[in-house]
Amino acid sequence: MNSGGNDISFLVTVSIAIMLLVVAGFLLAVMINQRKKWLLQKEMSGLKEHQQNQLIEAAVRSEEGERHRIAEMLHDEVGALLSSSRIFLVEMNTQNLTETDRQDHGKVKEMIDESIQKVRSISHNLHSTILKEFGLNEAIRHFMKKVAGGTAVNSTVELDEEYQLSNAETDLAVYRIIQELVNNLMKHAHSRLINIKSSLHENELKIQIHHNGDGLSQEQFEELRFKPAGLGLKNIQNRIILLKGNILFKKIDTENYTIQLSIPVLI
Amino acid sequence: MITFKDIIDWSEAWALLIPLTFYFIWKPKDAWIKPVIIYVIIAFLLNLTADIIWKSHFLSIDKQISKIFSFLYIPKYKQISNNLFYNLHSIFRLLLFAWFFYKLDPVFFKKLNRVIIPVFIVFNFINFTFYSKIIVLPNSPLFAVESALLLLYCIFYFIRINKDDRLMNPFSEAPLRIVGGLTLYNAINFPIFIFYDYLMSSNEKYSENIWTVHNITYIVLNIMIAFSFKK
Repeated sequence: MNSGGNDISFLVTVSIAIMLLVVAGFLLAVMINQRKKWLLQKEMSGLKEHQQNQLIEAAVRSEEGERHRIAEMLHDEVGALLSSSRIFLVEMNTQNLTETDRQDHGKVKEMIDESIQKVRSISHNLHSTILKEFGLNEAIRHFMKKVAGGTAVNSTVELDEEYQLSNAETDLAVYRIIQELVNNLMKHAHSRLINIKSSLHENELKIQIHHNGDGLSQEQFEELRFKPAGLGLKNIQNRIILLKGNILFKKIDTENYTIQLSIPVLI
Repeated sequence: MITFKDIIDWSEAWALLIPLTFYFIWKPKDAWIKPVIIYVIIAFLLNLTADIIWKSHFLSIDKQISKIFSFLYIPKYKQISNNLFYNLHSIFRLLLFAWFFYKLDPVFFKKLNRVIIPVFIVFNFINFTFYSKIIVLPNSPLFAVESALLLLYCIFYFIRINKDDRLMNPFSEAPLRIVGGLTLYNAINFPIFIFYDYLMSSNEKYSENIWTVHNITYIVLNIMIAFSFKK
């Protein structure tokens, strides 16, 4: 081996080392740039999520405000008018009326009574005073009794009594979700058996709705909530996002479906 | 007895079985897989042939090899040369990886291919017409130019990633694994290829050792290609 051979060996070794350093530096620069991009995107998606949540919150608040306003108007104005009408009707002298007129008078009184009941029912549906005064569990029980009563639907409610009010807004959102889900089950899924169960695990409220109707799978829910017809499902999803919770639709078999809600709560 | 050196010497052929095996296990479907798998198959056939010719004496098949590859006989060295296969491998590697980069981003690499491929073809024409014969020696200028051009592709790929708004996870982006392996292979081997002809004549021991480095980086490249087949 000559000195020229040694020199070239040294040159090759040094060149390999330099090339490795250059490549390592280049890859490092690419990785640093990717990390910067990642941090920026994370920040952007955080901001986007925050903005989206604010929009959802505003929409939900405005919807609740409107419900409250309509409920108050129905209760205080239409309800009051109907009650006054009933008083006048009751105080009417029916002695001089013919039998047919007396029967009509009775019918009108019955209809006014029914209207008062309906107005009260709609008003309570729009703005649940039970939820406000007695909490979520009682509101759900009352709601289920009301919607299933007098129908072919058999409903059972087993709620965890350990759960008390965590936050009025959370309770209202959960109540609205259950209202929407149960209405959907009766209207679209034609369920004849609805069972609602709740359990509290640490800081998470789990609610399971089991039914025997023609329910939804998770894929169907994801698909429907983006369609104009799925406005109710979109509202459910919005409230779930707002609560930072989770909703899962499961099909057990053709006649057994469950809907699981997981809601973080502050006790 | 098989020594570590034997295993490394044959690595040019068996290393290619790693991506080939994982290709059949994972059956990837991406568009950029096609040029890569064609490269792996062609490289395997060329390298296996080159290694069989090289080791024909140890395999006791020199007579058969002399008969089959009589057209590769070099009177000056009184032996059959396997360098044609290395040279063809080098040409195929550049062309197929140029296709691979084009498949990754047709818009970005179309312009680069329009420059690099004609340059490479003209270089080969001049090199093999006026300076060397394709069957005689492992061609240092060919390997070095091919390596430099592939490095250029890799650098442009990384520049493209940096320009792209889309975020890429280096560990989950499959083509990035191939490009990473290719960058490492070419960066280390570029100096080896430049001086290989000279090293063989001036420092044979060192040239043998440095070729082991080449073979190890080639194994790494094949492992990276194999991992890129996994989603």
